[in-house]
Amino acid sequence: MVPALVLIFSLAFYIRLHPGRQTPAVYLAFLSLAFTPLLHFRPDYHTVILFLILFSFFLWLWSLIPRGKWVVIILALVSVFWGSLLAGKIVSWPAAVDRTRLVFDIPTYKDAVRLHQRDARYVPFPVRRLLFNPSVYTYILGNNFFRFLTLENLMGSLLLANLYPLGLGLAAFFRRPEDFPRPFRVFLLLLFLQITVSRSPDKFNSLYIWFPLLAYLILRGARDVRLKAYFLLLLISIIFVLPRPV
Amino acid sequence: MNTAEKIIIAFILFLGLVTRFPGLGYSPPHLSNDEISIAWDAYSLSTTMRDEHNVFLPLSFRSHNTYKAPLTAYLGVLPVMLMGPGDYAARLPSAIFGLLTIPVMMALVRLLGGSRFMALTGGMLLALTPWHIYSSRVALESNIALFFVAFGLFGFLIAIHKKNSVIALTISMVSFALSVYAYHTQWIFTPLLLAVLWLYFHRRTFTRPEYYLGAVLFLLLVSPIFTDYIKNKGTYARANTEIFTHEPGLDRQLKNPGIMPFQKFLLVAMSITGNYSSYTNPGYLFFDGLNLLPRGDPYQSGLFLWPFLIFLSVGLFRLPRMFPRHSTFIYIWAALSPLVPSLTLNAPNQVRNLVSLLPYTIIITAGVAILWKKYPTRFLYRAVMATLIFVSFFYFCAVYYYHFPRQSAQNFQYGYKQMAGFIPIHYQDYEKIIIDPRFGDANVYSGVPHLYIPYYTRMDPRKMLVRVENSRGLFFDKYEFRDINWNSETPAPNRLYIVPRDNPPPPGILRAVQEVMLPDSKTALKAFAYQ
Repeated sequence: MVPALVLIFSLAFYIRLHPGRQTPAVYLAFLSLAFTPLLHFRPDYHTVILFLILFSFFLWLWSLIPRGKWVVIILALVSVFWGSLLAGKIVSWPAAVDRTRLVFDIPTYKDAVRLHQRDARYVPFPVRRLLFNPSVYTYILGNNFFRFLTLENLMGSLLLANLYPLGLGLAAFFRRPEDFPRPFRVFLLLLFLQITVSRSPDKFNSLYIWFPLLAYLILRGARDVRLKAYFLLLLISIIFVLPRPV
Repeated sequence: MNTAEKIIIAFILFLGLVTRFPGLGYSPPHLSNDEISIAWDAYSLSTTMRDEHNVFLPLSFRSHNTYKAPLTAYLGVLPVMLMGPGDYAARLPSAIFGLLTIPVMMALVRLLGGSRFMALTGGMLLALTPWHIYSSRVALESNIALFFVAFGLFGFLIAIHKKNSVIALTISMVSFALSVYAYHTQWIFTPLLLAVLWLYFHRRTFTRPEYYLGAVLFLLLVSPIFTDYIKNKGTYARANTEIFTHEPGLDRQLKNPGIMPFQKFLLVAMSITGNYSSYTNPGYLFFDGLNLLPRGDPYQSGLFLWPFLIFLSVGLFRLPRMFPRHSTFIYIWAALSPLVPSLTLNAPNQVRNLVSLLPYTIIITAGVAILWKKYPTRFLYRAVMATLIFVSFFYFCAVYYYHFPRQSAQNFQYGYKQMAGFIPIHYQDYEKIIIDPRFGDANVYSGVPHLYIPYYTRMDPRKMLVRVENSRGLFFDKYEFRDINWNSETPAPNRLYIVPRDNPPPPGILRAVQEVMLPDSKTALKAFAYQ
């Protein structure tokens, strides 16, 4: 029921923004989205399911109504923000932040900064404090995010076939962000932050709430894929989603 | 080529030189397990024409319960003969081939259809890449293999461009064959790359006899090593020990009689995909893959400088624009490179995956060229780009040349070289020198002092050839290499004991005569003699 509902809202959102005749690859993407393991995942906190339904509904509603869009987008933002924090277990219901889940409180990082400050005798102490300081967290956050973006994580949650249109969708977004719905930039930023601040982001829990957004990117990219290649990848992907031996 | 280009090329080579050659004995802080094995074999070959295990001119060098490819040891013979055993002699071939890879890289970019600007950029990026700097400063078989793959490809492309030049093709095939002799990844990778080249340039390769002859030449040249492998099948030959199916979890599942063939296929495919994924992980490639500092240190360096991630992302999507004729080949090359390492144990391994360095650098080069072209007049944009690269390179240099030797010396079995400096002075004072090979906290690791000590003391390799090895340990000359248990050991005069810091003798009978400290001021080894 939940996957069907979310999928319908996500597809409706896309069709509403891009009405008219769709390419065969987009229809194939509809099919492949139905197979995505992420859609069929059951999060650890069941409340997150409600937030996912709300998020996909608000996105669709946003595309539907001519006025008052900002109210809907705020509601969508609240649901996805709260839902992503819950899904990523950064907060526990209703809103208690679990600091042990955050990347900021890891003692080895603090110790390393102090150690390098002490050891870097090739420069005077004030310069050492400039070189080695908590600004290293930006590097850690970047590392955390890009470590998450592995083929295995993305394939496991979105299917190998969908990575092809997803890549094209993202490339289209970075090339011409003005062609995408305005709130998209905020959503992507939130997704980035959710993954980066989590100490050990899990592929399903971290991406679950973002399914409608990822589905939109996949559908946008599907317009530019080579149909034969996409079809072949989908066949291979279906083999991979077959039950694993234990 | 104009004067400005010549100056830039000279600068790039100078950069390659100053990042790869100075302080070879200092960073990495000590010859590693694999390096000392290669270095000793080179030294042993230089005097006896035999390896450590008394095999005459071997094609596979037995080392630490497995086998190594032969070329690196043979290339090490000349430096050892000229300079004598030491860190520089061991690491010099790798550094030289590392430096030579830079101009070959520039030529490759040009031959693949890149502009002159891109060729220079490619060379500059390779000169600055931490992965290549690190690999060039270690006696690494894969770094030498990388050069021969690049040079083979260079020769092949020349042959294609210069109307099927037989000389270029011959050089190419010899170079590709040498890459097979240099490292085990190339056993599969080089034939795969050649097959791709053959298919990609099929209009030439399938119609011209030179290419068929080239293929025969390659097969002839590599046949001895494959014959040797077949002879060693079922032994500890590397191809038998390092394959991914020996991963404990997978091995257990595959041996489960209840699993159907299709499920086995699925397990194998998933395991390869998992390994491939770890090799292409952007966090590993751009943030912490080099693993220079202890685990948990945020100042780790990636295999590439992190700003290169931006260029790689751009280059991946815009490659066809910058390499209109050969972008497909570059894509295939980049996709193929991590495949062979993915078939081995313990992924990711930066040494096995070194073949990916060149295609990735070419894609990064395309990204730089795209962004440079996109903003041709914006000084600020270019300044930001250059500053990001400079800052990240500065951090890499600080970590690599200063913090890494201090913090990671123990992983390189630091201390044996320093202890070897003490032994020759007192060699005549002792009848036996007993060395405990364990090291690390609570003696968790076992090292190879039986190679370090004779290498750095310049012992005659003939003494090693008549060594005795049994369950107690390893014995040659005055040396005994065995675990020392002080409860059962009976110290005697004229004996020198060299032990790790966590295995000191009980107080009273022996006195410390020498102590070797790690660069972080902890004790590494101590030598004890009778009171």
